[in-house]
Amino acid sequence: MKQTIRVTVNGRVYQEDVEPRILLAHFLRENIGLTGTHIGCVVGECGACSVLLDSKVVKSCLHFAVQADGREITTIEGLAKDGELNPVQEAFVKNYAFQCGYCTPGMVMTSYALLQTNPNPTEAEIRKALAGNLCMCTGYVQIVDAVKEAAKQQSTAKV
Amino acid sequence: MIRFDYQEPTTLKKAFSLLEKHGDDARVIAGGTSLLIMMRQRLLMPKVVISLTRIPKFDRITYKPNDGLRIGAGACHRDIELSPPVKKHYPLLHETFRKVAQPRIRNMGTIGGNLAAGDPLTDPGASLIALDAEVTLTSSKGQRTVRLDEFFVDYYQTALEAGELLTEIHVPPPERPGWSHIKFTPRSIEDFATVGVAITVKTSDGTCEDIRLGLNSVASTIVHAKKAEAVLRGKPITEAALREMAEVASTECEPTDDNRGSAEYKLDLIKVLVRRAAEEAVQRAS
Amino acid sequence: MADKKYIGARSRSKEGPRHVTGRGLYTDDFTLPGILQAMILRSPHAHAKINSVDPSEALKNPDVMAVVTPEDVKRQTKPFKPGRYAAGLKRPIDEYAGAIEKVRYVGEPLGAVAARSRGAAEDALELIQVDYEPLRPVVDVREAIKPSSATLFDELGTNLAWQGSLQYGDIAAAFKSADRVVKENLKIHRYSSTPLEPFVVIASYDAASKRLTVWVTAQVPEVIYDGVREALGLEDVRVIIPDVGGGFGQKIHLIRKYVVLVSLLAMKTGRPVKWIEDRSEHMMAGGHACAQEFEAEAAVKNDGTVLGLRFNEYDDVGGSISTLTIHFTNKLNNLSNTYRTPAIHMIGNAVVTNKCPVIPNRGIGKPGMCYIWERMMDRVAQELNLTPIEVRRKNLIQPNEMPYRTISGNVYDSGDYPGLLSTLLEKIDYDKLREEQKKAREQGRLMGIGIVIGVEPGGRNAARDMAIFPEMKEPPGSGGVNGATIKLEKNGTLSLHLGSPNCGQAHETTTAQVAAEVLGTTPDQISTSIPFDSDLSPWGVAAANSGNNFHLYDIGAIHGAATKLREKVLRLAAHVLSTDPKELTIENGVVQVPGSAMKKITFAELGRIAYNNQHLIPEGMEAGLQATHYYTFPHAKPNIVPGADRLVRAQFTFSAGAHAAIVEVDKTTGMVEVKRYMIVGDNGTVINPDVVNGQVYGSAAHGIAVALGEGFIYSSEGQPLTITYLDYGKCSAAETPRVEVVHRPSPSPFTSVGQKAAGEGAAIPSPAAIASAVEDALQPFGVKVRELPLSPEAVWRLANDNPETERRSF
Repeated sequence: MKQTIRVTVNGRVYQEDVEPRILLAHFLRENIGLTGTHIGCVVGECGACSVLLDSKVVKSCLHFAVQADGREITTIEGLAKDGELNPVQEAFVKNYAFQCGYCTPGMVMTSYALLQTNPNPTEAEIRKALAGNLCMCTGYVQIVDAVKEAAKQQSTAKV
Repeated sequence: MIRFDYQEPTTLKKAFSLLEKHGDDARVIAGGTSLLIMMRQRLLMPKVVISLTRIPKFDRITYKPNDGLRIGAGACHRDIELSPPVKKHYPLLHETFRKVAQPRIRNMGTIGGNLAAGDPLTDPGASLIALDAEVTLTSSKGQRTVRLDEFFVDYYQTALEAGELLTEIHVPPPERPGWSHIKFTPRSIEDFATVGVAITVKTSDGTCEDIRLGLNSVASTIVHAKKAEAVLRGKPITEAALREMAEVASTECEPTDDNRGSAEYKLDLIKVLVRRAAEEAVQRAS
Repeated sequence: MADKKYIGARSRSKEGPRHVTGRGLYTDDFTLPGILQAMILRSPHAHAKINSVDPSEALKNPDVMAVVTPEDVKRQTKPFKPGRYAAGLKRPIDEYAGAIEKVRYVGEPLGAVAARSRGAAEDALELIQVDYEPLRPVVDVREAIKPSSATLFDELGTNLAWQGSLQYGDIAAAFKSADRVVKENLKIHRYSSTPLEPFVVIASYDAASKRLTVWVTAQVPEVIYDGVREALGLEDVRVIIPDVGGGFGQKIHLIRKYVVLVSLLAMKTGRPVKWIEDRSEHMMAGGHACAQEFEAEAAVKNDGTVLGLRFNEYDDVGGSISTLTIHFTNKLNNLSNTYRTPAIHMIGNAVVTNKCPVIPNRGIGKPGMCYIWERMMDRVAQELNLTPIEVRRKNLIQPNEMPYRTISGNVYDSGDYPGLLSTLLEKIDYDKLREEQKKAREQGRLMGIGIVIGVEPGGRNAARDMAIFPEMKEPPGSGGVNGATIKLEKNGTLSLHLGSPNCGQAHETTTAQVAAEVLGTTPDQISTSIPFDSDLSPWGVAAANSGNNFHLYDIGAIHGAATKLREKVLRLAAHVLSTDPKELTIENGVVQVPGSAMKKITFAELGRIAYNNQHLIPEGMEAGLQATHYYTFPHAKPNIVPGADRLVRAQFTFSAGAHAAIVEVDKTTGMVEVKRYMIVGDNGTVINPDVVNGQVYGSAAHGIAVALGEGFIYSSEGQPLTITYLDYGKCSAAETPRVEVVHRPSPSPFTSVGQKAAGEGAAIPSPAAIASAVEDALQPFGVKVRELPLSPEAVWRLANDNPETERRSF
């Protein structure tokens, strides 16, 4: 039986009728039409589906859409403003912190959330924070470098 | 994913009446991380899923010096990890919760959901046992308190009875200043432990006054290694004593062969890691 | 090209902006009106007869639109033709898209369901009744070839599905004149690069036109195209490949089965159908790299010269005959590694077992070949009391011997192997490391250093696999052909249309740099069309995003097309400016006589003429400004097609890398920590350093993780135990060491701009590097590392001398 839920996604409110069994990841991709959130394992191990739920990074494949009723979600599509990449996104592009791009939205969301709470992380802290986002292509070197650069950019921007 | 009905009661009382109404057809969800996976794999197929997230104060964490820590079952791992009284007074818990899975899971999974699942592979149980934790089980008929080391009955089985919910975890004021937590994973740190060890210890003049030892991933439930504790309790702390304690601890465990390692390897790991944890805890105690 | 502006320089990624904003377009991001969702019916048994399949309960739900059963597959499709991956299969054995009479691995597809929603499809799958008769599973390779084991294929009568050998040079003489024969038994396990995006297929069939359109996560369009034509008898097939979330060889072969099954559903329902697999489905049935066992012998002289190498190989190919010999024949690509050994004898045995079929995962057989060489070189050093460096130096091909013809017919275009090794030893300060190691050992710390070297072949020759079967009736093509089209638009920008799909190797960025260099414009004026579309893309047999093809065929095609276009541009400009083409230069999209303010014209102006202004186009010149070039490697002969002598150019270009692994081992837990990992690499002319570095980092990280424990494990009943990423042992950023890369290129004299390969690269030598380092660390205990993976338990057993009480299956 379907339930009506109201969810705010990237600042816009959506009202949808969904079956309780619909995963949040599928809801975002299919009901809302935002396909930037990817599904790699559907059991919460790879992090490709990472989004912000009330400002906390969560794995949207481990959530039912009905659990998000009344809450705020930010997906990868919500980061850039009018086509202007935010510092994390720009650092990823400059540093080639991706190859196939499938893990990239999740990586960017997690990196973004990390820098909100820890603006000056060490390499070890970056690697630990990204431990829940698997990448099969890059070997992580350029991703870590991108996060470091984004941290630097953000701190110089503040000054 | 199977089909099910989703209910969000706003009080515990309403939650209990739903549980009574649907009995075995219902499952409770808080963070939902492990339940959801089991439902996807059709290992559990509830017709009704009852979410506890709208129940007020269900996730509260409070601390009083003479009472200790009280954690609402709905508190998620991340909140416990970051809670100031936990950081200050229970460094063992702070360390343990820092290591549970990874931030994305810790942001969603709850301590109540974790303990109530009775999963012997997860991290919090051993540390809570090492701190003499007890759980409050509530039903429409009342409340009872159970020691955590008696709460885990078997693989995925706990002392929870039909109609009961785990509502609170109580951790008494810390009595043993020395502590250590080791989570051994062969590869990814976000994986389940191959062997997990938690120790708290109180020493004076090189003698062990009191000790608690908990282990996870080594048996069908989380283990409280009482016999091992008895080896060291009241005795001088020597290398030989630590070694003997580690040996006895391994006899209280029954690890199985799986893709993380053979039973033989795990038994050896238990001896190695219990010793390392004990050494570290003793150092912290002084 | 004298002073290069874009080739070799850093250049802003063209793929980056869409990936970091979530605007990549992957197959699952597409939908069509009325699309149905499909699920695949899979076997829960490792080995069983299929007695009956009854879909009637499932079809009762009105949301379920069609079910495909084994009977449907048998009646409505034909089996696939055995291709070059099974070159050794002399008698054809029918393999259909789904299992017909028997299932031979857990997860093997035997049917499919299409329904109006994912939930309905899942529910329907549960309702299909299958009557299986379980048979004894065959899991262990040595057990499988015993007559007492159950047989997987009755037509073969044995599980030893293929046996053959290749010999080059006088191996008997080598062993006769040896001072010593060094022997070793080695083993590599089952693993895979597990791309993050699982298989996805969308099929749409237009019955009136008999046209099938397929969107699919595939690396080689030809496999899909041919697979559909063979199985469904359709000639009008369009294959579209959008952004692919990782391939690594996983998305080449078995995916064709699912394309056929999903197409059958589309044909049955008259609606478009989409299928996405679950992660666990991919881990069980998507395809694995082959577990290989080697009995190796090296004939050596006391001074360390290797006179001959002989090895007997057992390949555990899983439950299909379609990839029987690929891991054996692929060893022809790096058979000699970096050494001048004059005689090599390779014997192969392909054994079928009740496990997932093997597929050409990154390196395919080459990591195994490099493992044999580099483990043997260490072993030779130990037995002759020489250092591992001395033994390698003694046998390396020298730079002044390039181009070098190997005994199996390969021609190494360029390379300075002694130089790579020296530079590596210098950069890691090898002597200092050995001193550090001495001190560490005194403190009881087990530090180890492993040094290995390996070639990385590139640019495939489709006829290579015929070396084991030159009389093959249906030759798979030969050499390589692939194309590219470049068009100067009316507004002066350029658009590229490549012949190959890609899974993230920065094709758009790299080709834009090459085109910009040749044409005298800037990369930001160039855009590349994605997706690959078989109707439009200029593709040939080398349109395979695998086997290190891109650097040779796609770059060659773009270079050729850009060169043709440049000539046209100059011809038109010369005509319009009334000058000689030789007088003209092009810079930043402006064609001019240097120094002249009047005699200049922009690309945009030329575009407007070429497409709009016939009056200004010279007599006899084709209008428009577009060029297509199909590239073949101009130095491919001799030995493109192997003859009776079995000599063959297995691949055409040869990168190389020297690797150093520095590890520390904890004896009590078996944990291995990689303290440092450095590669000194030769990828020829590097077009985009960030891209090449990324390929090296990624392939090295995977090889290291493979060596240290990730891998597939089966129970003795053939049940896969590792069907989640964590169970399988995937490493995150927290466990992956930071790989260091130093470039020391020897450009190829034969390729368009001297470029060589960089895709499979570091995956080839890295398992051997880790094995060497761990063995070195445990040297005080006399440990010999023979088998991978070196999981903590495996290292613990080696270090503490505990033989396994029960043999586990890999």
